[in-house]
Amino acid sequence: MARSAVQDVGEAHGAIFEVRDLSVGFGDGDDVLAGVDMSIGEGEFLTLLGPSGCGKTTIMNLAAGLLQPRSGRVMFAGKEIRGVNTSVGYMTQDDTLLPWQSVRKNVGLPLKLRGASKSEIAEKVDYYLALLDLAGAGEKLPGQLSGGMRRRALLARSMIYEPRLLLMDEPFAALDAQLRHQMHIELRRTIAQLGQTVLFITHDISEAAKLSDRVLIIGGGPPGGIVTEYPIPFGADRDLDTLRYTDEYSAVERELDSALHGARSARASRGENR
Amino acid sequence: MTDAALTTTESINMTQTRALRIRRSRNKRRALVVSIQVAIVVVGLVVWEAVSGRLVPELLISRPSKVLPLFWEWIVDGTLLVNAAGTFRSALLGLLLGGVLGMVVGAILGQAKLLAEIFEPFITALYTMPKHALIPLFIMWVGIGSALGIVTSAVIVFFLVFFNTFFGIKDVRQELVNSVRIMGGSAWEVMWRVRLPSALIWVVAALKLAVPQSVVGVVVAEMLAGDSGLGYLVSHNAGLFNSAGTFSALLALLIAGYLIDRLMTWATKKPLEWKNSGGIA
Repeated sequence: MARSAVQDVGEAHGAIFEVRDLSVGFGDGDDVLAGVDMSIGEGEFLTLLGPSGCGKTTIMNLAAGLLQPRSGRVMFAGKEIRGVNTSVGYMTQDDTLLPWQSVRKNVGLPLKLRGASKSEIAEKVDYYLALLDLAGAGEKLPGQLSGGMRRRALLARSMIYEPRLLLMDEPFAALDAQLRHQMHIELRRTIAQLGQTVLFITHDISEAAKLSDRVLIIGGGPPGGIVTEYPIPFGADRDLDTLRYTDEYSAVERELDSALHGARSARASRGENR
Repeated sequence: MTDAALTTTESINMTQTRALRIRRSRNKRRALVVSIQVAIVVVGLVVWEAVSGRLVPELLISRPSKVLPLFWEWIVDGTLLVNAAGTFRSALLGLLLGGVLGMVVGAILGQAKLLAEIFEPFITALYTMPKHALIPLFIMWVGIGSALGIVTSAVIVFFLVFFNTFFGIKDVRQELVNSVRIMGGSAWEVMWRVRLPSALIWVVAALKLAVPQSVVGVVVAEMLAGDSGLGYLVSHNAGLFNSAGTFSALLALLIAGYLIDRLMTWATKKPLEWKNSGGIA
């Protein structure tokens, strides 16, 4: 089922984020990524899956405009990204809630920064807090919340200004397995409700299989690149509680595991040859 | 349903009982601490009174039975109020001047790497100089009087606040800055919403030191070249070998210093509430 070559299906349904012949490096060092071509279409959930240090976050930072490539083109909605990209929402694995502000103020901050009226902010904050089951926690400080609640608050803040693309860099890595599964369910439900486009990073195979519409496996470096593309056959209305016990899901996990293993081996052998 | 209601009532009662027990235990502990503190003061005063004139000449340490009445006399005749007002007015102005300047320069250099690289070594070099050694120079510049105390305390406060603001602004987590920029925040908004609040804990730590130090600066200036103020009262009475007067002035400084520290603890409690809630910046 895995494809041996990268097929760029994102462009077929209207690419929101595109990378063409990309190479990236830091300082005087060698390229971290080279020859990368990828895109993500409107409404798609695309996951970058790969071993640690293969350059997944680098692609995220390019999309957010926090990093510039050495060569190649990085496009957002048809335009080259030349500075901080305020059209994306970025949820990293770090806790970036402002600890001195209440959950309510944190979630409403992007709207405030964009000059929204007080009533609009209040209305949207109420909506997103309710959507993510945080209605009773609005006046609390982030330090008073559990790990899962903080993640949900971050998700609410990343989505409240309706970014065209939501970047999620291992957002649930610090959570325990049960809470992570709960967050997966909430994420799928929320993005289905809002039609949100998501670029997701993980090194967890089951997370990629459960959430994604399509998976790009990164590795084979350094410099790394996209090794394989893998479309996930489950529909948008998938039931994550039952899905994980099906044979189809197990088969997808196995194939992703084998593809990821291939990427790791290629990376290791290329690393040894250098 | 009745059972459930009873259970809820019982549960509320148990919680209230537990809270009451905790409060009583806290009050007991507090009473014990205060009793011990009062006992220490009383024993200290008794020992002081006993040794004065017997083991140590009274000229050197006076005695509580002379210091406390004089202290009260100064309160009644306004000596203490007039001199303390002069000292604290100068300290407050010095604190404002040095504090605001320290925060502004610290915030600017904390953000601008090039400027920090250029100016930070100069500021550090100036910081290493003993500030009180500059007082003769300040006398030449501003003369004696309240201006001298203000300048001295401003210089002391500036360095304390500058370094804390500078490092506080520099130490802010880059992920917080990036997240606000991506949300649409301008450089000013990043400064206002991320860098300054993040540096607040450093600034507050600096202010807790700076407030008493501003008083120290004024008192030292008053002792060296003043004609009024608590520092002047100390040095004037010491010059006359009036140890009761010297100790009364020192007692005023002790009480004022303690009250200032309590005031600062109270004033900084609210802005740092998030830190106590377990938040990280």
